[in-house]
Amino acid sequence: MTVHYVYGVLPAGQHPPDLARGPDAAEVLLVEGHGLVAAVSELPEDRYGEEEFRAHAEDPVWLQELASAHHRVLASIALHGDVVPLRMPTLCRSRQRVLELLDTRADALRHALASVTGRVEWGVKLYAEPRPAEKDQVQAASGRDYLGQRMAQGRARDEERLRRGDAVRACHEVLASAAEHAVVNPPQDPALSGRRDPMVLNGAYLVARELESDFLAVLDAQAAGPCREAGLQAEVTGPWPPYNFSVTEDRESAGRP
Amino acid sequence: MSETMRPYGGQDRTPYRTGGGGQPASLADVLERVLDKGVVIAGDIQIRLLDIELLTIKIRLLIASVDKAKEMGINWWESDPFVSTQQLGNDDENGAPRELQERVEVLESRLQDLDDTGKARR
Repeated sequence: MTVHYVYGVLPAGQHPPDLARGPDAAEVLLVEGHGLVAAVSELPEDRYGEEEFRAHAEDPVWLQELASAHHRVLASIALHGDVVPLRMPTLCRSRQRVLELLDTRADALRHALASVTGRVEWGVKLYAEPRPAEKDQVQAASGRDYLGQRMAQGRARDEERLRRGDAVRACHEVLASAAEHAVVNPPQDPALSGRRDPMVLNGAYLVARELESDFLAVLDAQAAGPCREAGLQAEVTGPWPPYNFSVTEDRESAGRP
Repeated sequence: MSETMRPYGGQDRTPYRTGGGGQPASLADVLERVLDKGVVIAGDIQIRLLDIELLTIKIRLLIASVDKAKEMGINWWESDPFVSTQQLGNDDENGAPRELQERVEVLESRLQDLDDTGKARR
C-alpha cells in the first residue's frame, strides 16, 4: 500500500527542470488535472501513512527529515517557477484522490497561485543587541533611597524597551511598504533561533521577483540606519517559496461561490 | 546542517546572515514554515462532505506534547506575537519584577471583574 504525499500545487504547463527528491530519495511526480499540477511522491504507507505520522508526531529526527524533504522539493520548484506550498503533511490515498483534490479545490488553489505568481518570500528577523550593562548596583544611604534608585532604573529600562519597540515597528512598516504583503510571526525562542539575543521581529515579506533588489536595498538601509541606532541587528533569509502567503484555510474558500 | 536547508539550493544573496557567507537557512526557519504555513487542503468536515480520503494532519497540535516541543525548541506559538517584553527583559534579575508586574495586572483585572459583577448584582 502507498500514500500520495502532496508537496504543493503549481500551474499547468510549468515544468520544473531540476526537481529535488522526496523522503528516502523518492521521485517527485507531477499529477496534472483541471489546469493545475500537484507535485506528489508515492510513498510506502508503512513508513509515511497516517498512522506513521501519528506515531512519529513527537519524534524530532523523523519530523526534521520529512520537513527538510518537503522544503527541498518545494524550493527546487520555486527556484524556477511558481508554487503554492501545502501544509505538511497532505496525504491522499491514490493518484485518483489527488486529481479529485485538484478538482474540488481548483478555485481556492488557483486563487492562492494567482496571489503568489512571480513573487517570492523573504524573511527578516531583528534581534535586540545586549546593552552595555549599566550597572544595576545600587548604593543607597537608606531604604527609601534604594527603592527610589531601583524605580528609576526600572523606568529607564521600560523607556528603552518602548523606544526599541517603536524602532521594530517602524522598520517592519518600511519593509512592508516595500513588499506586496507582510506577515509578522511570533519571535522564535532562543533555543530555536540559536541566538541568545532576544528576537524582536520575525517577519515575512512577499516580494515580486523583479523588485527583489529594491526590497533588499530598503532592508539594507534600515539595517545600517535606524535599526543599528536602536540596537537592533537584522538577519535576512530567502528567497523562500511563499509559505507565509499560502495559508488559505478551507473555511475561507468554502464561503466563496 | 545539509545543503537542503537552504531556501533555494544555495547561493548566498544576503548580506546579514549570521556567521556570514553562505550559511544555510536554519532548521528552525524551515520547521516554522513547513509545519505551520502552507495551504491547508481539507479539514475533517470537508473530508466527510466530499468523501475524499484526504488526511491533513495538523502536526502542530500533534507534536504539542508541550515538553517535547520545548525540548525541540518548537514553542514559538507560546510567545507573544509581536515585541515580547518578556523576551526583552528576562535574562537578568529584571525578569522577576516584570513577571510580578504582569501577575499583579492579571490579579487587578480579575478584581475589577469581581467588582463589576458585584455592582451588576446590586
